[in-house]
Parts: sequence; structure tokens; C-alpha cells
Amino acid sequence: MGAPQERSILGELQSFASDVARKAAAHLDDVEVWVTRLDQVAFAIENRTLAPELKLGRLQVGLRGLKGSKLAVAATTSFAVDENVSALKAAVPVARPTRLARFSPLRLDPTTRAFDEGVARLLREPRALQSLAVDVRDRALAEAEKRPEVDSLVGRVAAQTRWRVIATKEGGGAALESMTVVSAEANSARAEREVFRVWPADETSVRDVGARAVRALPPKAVAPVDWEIEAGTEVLALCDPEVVESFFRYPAHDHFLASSLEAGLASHEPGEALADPRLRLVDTGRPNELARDFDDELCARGETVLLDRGRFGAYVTSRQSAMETGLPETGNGVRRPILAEDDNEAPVRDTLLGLAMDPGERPTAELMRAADRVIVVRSLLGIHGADRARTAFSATVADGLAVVRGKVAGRLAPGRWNVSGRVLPGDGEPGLLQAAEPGRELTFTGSALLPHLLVRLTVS
Amino acid sequence: MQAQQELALRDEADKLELARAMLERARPRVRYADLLVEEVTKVEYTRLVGGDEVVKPFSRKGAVQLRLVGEEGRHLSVSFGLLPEAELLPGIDYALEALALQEPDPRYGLAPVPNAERVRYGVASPGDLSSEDVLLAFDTLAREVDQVCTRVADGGTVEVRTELWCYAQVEEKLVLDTEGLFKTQVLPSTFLQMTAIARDPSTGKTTRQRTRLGDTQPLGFFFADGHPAHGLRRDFVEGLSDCTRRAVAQQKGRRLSGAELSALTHYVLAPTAMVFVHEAEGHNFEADLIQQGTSGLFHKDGCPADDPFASALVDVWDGQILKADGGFDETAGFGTHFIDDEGVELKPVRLVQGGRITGKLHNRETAHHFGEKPNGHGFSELGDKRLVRMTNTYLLPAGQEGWCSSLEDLIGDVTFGVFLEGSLGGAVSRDGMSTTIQFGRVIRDGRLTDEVLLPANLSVVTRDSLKSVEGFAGPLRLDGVGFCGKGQTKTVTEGGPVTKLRATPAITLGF
Repeated sequence: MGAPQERSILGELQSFASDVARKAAAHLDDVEVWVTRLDQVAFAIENRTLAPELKLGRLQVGLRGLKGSKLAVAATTSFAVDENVSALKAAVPVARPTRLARFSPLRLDPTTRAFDEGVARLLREPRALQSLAVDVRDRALAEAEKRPEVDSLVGRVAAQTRWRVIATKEGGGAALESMTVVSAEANSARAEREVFRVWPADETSVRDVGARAVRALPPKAVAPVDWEIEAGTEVLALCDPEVVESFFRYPAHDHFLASSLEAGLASHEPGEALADPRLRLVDTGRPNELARDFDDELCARGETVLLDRGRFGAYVTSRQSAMETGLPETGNGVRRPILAEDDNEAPVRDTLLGLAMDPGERPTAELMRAADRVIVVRSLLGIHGADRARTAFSATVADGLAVVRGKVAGRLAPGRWNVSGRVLPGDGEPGLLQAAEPGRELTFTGSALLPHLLVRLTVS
Repeated sequence: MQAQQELALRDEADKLELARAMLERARPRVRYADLLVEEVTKVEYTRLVGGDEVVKPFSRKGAVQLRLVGEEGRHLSVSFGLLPEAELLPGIDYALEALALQEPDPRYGLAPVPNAERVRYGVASPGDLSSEDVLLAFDTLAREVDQVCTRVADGGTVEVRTELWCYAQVEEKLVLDTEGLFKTQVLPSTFLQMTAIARDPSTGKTTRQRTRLGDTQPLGFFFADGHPAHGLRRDFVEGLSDCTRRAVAQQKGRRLSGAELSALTHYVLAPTAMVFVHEAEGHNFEADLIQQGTSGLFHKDGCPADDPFASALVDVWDGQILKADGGFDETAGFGTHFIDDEGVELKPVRLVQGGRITGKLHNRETAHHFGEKPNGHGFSELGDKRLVRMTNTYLLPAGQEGWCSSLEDLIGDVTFGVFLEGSLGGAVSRDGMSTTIQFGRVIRDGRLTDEVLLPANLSVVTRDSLKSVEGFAGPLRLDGVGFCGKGQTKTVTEGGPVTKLRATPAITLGF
């Protein structure tokens, strides 16, 4: 169990959620009270300046109630029990039909699998986090002195603790989670980022994040025309794990959801060949980095194989989509917001959560030598606007490298590399995952544990 | 502008008492502090694509942003949830301890708030948001959307479904400081997003289009004569129908080949595709990014990196919307506010005049840094740190030259081009921007054809983004309603007239 202070707050939130659920249940058939609290200390690095930013006690409450066969919904940021009960009661007269018969009755012990005392200490003693931020900045600036072309250094060092509590009429669950993110970007072009659930024993790599960003900024820029590449040409691209994750969070996301199946937006059959046989991808809460024991509906998180040897495995479900499709519950009901919604305001939607891909056989460095010319794609601008129906995207490379015979020849010229691809096959078109090789090393992105992926992309 | 007494905040005395208690706690240990209390009450309706509806008849959220400025420019921003006072005050003590640890920042400062004596701003709250009338309005809206789909899909082989998200809300804010500043704003706003999803059951092929409506007006904004009983406004029905028709038409959409992309002579952007101006221009004028050195158009010292940087035909504005009579509309535009989240009155800023850079967007911190006047662009998302943000960003012809009366005139000399409509948002870096265009049509030999294009990515090199503007058609329209992300979400609009750009290596379209 975590530190006394954090544990005490978790207990308070459990009592609060239970009180709201108990009082509201007097007026309803079943109640679900979803509560999160976030505390965060961050230092923004803006060249020589550190701009501190604190978030303390940011509370969100999401409320759902069942009355007859109707669902009532409300959201607040209030810690007052009566105000929350009143909000839910007020929603009852306008409740809408639902097929949910009850909320989860699961009873889980509080979990601290994703909590680390080392990270929590940074929140309680901001001097330690400030010292880290100073070190990240100063090492980067020292490196930048050797590189006169570096005129902008921005970054962020942040530590956070999040409390997640759900209480229903019969069930309950609570989790304490912590995370640290250290990032830096040189010339708005080359970014380095490290994310930790557990504070590392050796801090050298963390403190060097900014310096690495500066060192890794190639002085030369390479445009497609320099490689005599015309619009429509395919290139071999080694995609960074964060880019790989974005393929599954945006263009291909909806194609793994049972709700899409129900809505006619996805139609993959188990066993259908969608990807390279070297790919195995699971949606899971098991590894400590991705630790999550229950979703936003208090459903136990399972391990859903999305791709196995390149073949479609299974759809993930929320309680409702599981009921509608007859598929098993996988614990993927998430208050997934769109645009200006906050999490507590968002409806529960089927959502991919922690993604883990099996590593490949060859080291990433070897994949860079897979052809005479390879581009390394580290960040794509605008992939969130992908065509989810076709799983297709076309986006500008914001951070990338041109590699010739395994050696970095330059950065991809800003604004000149627009790359396109279709992630999954369909409409008679191939998908880029069908010829994809994973690298041997895995990276924790904060929400996924993934390797680099070597694929073919089309340059526009 | 409403009578002052109509603009009082809900539970204002309680909010004021809490805010003053927090400032008093900080006052003995700081040189200056200011505080923002934000609260949003909202009625919301969501209909998921499967048909399930979610109605939130009355939700409320709030938070507090406190800025502490200590000796030698030490400063700190802290965001609090609406915790009980007994928990908030120890939080301030924690923040004060953290402030004392900060490095000195002697160059830090805050430009004064102009017109500090005026207190109240906004539009009076439209009565009780929890009333059944509001929910009736959402029902009417959903029903009319269904009728639109039925009409568009009628007789065709394609099924059409929609996903709806709409809300009406009132945002209240209160800004106080340790020097006696006290300002409030009440601002209603209304928003609808419809995603039309067309699917051919025989092939399984699915296409989508999205459209949005929004303004800083009460819910009556959606309806003829402001009342649900009179149905949706005719122009809105037409807009929703167009969106649905585009989703169906795109079933026959195609990509341009590599050879066709290389042969393009022009890009013609509809006002709905003007996220281009927001991303490629607007962000680069945000003075916090300029100060960081991450603007593509300015050096860190605030000097333009390239002057002139655009065609002489071009002006760019941010702020209140310019009217035909030369004045500015104080209340129109989804991104509009009367005051920003530091209490500074929003001013229209001409960012570009005749292709030359003439302005920046400021909050109080950046205005002090660059020795310029604040112009009301410091905004926070519900209690988060106040950043420099856009409001309504639009491109305007600098004069009459190149400004055609019709689209036909504008594209008369285009041998092979694309007419691009709608956007699914964009993203920007120092060097370039990228946006997904929802819908395109091919222009051949001066005529708009029926050749429909699939969604495509438009990317532009920032410094060259407006150099090839050749002309405009039609009136200024701010049809781009949305939410800008910069670590926080802010309501914005963007627009312009239809704008023609000559193809250059700085502009790329990808499928």
C-alpha cells in the first residue's frame, strides 16, 4: 500500500463515493459513482526559465443511475455528497432508455500496482522535482552551447498522482497511480521523452533527456527531392513506438471495438489476416507499466489479443457492447472524451486501453540498416484527423531522420515530408501492417509498451 | 451589453468570499497575486452512432487558478479543484513554500490590466438551464437531424447514420487580485457537432463527414426566431444537409494519383477549410510561443523572421469579427469573450496587414516581456494556467484587388486544381502545419467538376504559407467552429472568404 497521505486521500474518496452511491440509491435502482482526483507538480522548461505549475485536488465526479430501464447521467467537480446526489436525482426525469440492467457488482480491494513512493515523494517535496528540472535544463543548455543553430529549448518535468475510485450499489474499486514524464525538444524539431511509473534507480538517462534532444538534432535537412522521391513513391519507414501507438489510437482504433461491429463500422472475423505474421498485439492491464485492474465501469480488465501472428483476434468490449454482441466483457468501457468534454462528462465508449506488442527478433538499430535509404518517423502532425473508416492517414512528419546505409544523413526537412498509409487492409487496398517488422526493444509511452515498427509509407 | 445587475454571477457572494480568503492567505508572503474562479453549468445531449442517447440535464464544473508573484520575479501558477476551504488553504501554504524555492526571474512581470475600474461583462444568463424547455430543444434538434438524413438518403442504396453532440452552457468567471482588481463575465454558448456516417451495405464501405455549429449565444441560436417550436434555422438545416450529402457523395470519392498531385496548379480553400489560418498563422503569433522560440514567424526577440511574409493581398485578424461597416461585432463568434481570464478586455488584433506582420497575441506576462499592451488573449481551461490563446482568427483581403464576387470568377483561370472543404482539425510545429481536409472536388479548366476526393492531408510550410495567395471570392465567413488544443482546450473560430493559393513546393496534399 502507498504512502499514508495518499492512502488517506484514497480512503476519503472511497467514503465519499460510497456515501453518494448509498444516498442516491434510495431514489434509483442502481448507481455508479466515478471519482478521480489529480495532483500534479510540473516545471515547464522555456529556454533558461523554469515555469512551475501546480494542480492540487482537481476532482471530477461522473454519476450514472438506473431507474426502470432508463439511464440518468450527471457530472460535477464537487466534493459535497448532497450536491452530487441532487445532480443525479435531477437527471432522472430526463433519463433515456438503456439496455444496461445494472452496474458492475464487482468488489475489488484497493490497488496500488501503478503507484510508486519515489514518484509521490516528488509531489510532496517539489524541491527534488525542481532539482531534476534544473539539471535537465542545464545539461541541455550546456550541450546547446556547442550547437549555435539550437535557438529554442522547451521541455517539461512533471510528476503526478491520480486517485481513481468507483462505487456502485453493490460494488466498489479504488486505485492509486503515479507517473513521471520528462521531455525536451530542441528547435521545435527534435524531441526526447521518458515516462516512468516507477522512479528509476539510475537517474542518468532522465537527467540527460534535454542534452540528448540537442545532440540528436542533425544539422542537415533532407527533402524528398534530395532523394529524387516523387509524389506517390513508397519508402521504408522505421516508426517510433509513439507513432506506432498513434496508428492504433486514431486510424485503426475503431476497428477493434465491439461497438463498431454493432454499428456496422467494423467487420473483421477472428482469424482474418490483417497484419504481418510477426505481429502480436494485446490490450492489457497486466504489465506493471500498463497496470490497470478495472475500467471506468468497474469491469475487471482482461487481456484481449487484438492481433495474433498477424491475424485478427477479438474485439474489446464495454459492458453494453458485450451485452449487445454477446462477446465477453473485456474491461474496455472508458469515459473517453471528445474535444472539450472532460472525462467525467464523457459517455462510456468502447476504447483501446494499454497496448502491448511482442518484440521482434532484430534490434532497432539493425532495422535502420534494412535498406540503403530508410526514414525514421518520430512524430506525425495531424494523425488525429485520420480517416477512421478507411484506417487511412496522411500526415506531415514533424520529427524524423533520413538514414543512409544505417547512418543518420540528416533530419527530414520540416514541412516537406508528407507520408500516407492505410493501417489495415480493406476496400481492396493493402494495409501497412501487412508488411511490418517489429524491433527487439520495447518502449513505455505512458499508455503502451511497443517496439519500433518497420513499414512502407507513401510520400506525397 | 446587458444591464450590470443582470450580469451578477450565481452564488457570487460565496465565490467572492472564497476568493478573498485565498488571496488574504497568500498576501503576506507575496508581492502580488491574482486569482481566477471559473464555473461552467451545462446541459448536454449526446447520441452515439448506435442510437443510444445520453442526456445530462444540468452539470456543473469549477476550478480556481491562483498566480503568485514573489520577490525577484519568482512566480508560480497553481490550479485548485473546488475542494472544501479547509483543504484549499493548506494547498495555498504548500504553493507558497514551492514559490520560495523558485529561481529568481528578474525579467518576469505582468502588464497592467487596462480599464481596471470596469467590473461586469458578458451576456445575461438565459434563465434556468435545467428547465424542460432546454431538453425539448435538444429533442427537436435530434428529430430534425433525422429528417435531414432521411431526405438525403431517400431512394439511395446508402444507409446514413449520425452521431450528435450538443450542449448549451453558461460560463461564469471572476478575476481578482491583491491590488483591488475585480472583474466578472457571464457568457452563454451553444454548440452542435454532427457526424454523418454513410455506409453502403453491399460493399461495407463507410464514409464520414462532420459539421459544427456554435456561437456565444443561448440555445435559441439554433432555431428560427430563437424558439424550438419554429424548428431549426433554415441555413442550419441546409448546412446539415450538405454535410450528409457529402458523406454520401464521398462513397464515390477517389485519391489523386502522384502524377495528378504533381500537376496541381492551385488550391482553393472554402471558409470551412480555414483551420489553415488558425494553424499556419494564428499559433505563430501567440507571444508565449514567440518568447519560447517556437514560433515559425518570429525570432525570440519578437522581430518578424520574414518580412513581408505573405502576399500583399492578405490581412489576418484575431479577436472580434469585423463587420461590413468597419466596426467589430462584440458578441459573435464561438471564440469570443469580453474579457480574457486575466480580466483584460479582448481587442481585435490585426496580425498581418498587406502581407506584413503587424501584431502579436498577448497575455499579461508576454505583454510585459515584449513591452507591448495586453490585448485580452490570456485564457485558461477551467482553472489551468493562463496561456496565450486565439479567439476568432480570420483571413481578409487587404483591399479589393483579387477579390472576386463569385467562385466561378475566382477559379476561371485554374487549369487543374482542388476545391477543399471542411477540416478535422489540425496540428502545428514551428516549421509547418497539417490538417485533414474532409472533402474535395477537382477543378479542371476553370470549372468545378463532380469528381469527389477522399479525405486528404493538407500540409504547409509556415513561412511560405500565404506567399502564394492569388485571390478571394465571396464574403468573410467564420464557419470553422471548434476547439483548439495547446495542452488545454479553448473554443475558437476561424474563417475567411474562399481563398485561392497557387501551388508551390510549400503546400502539399496527401491521401
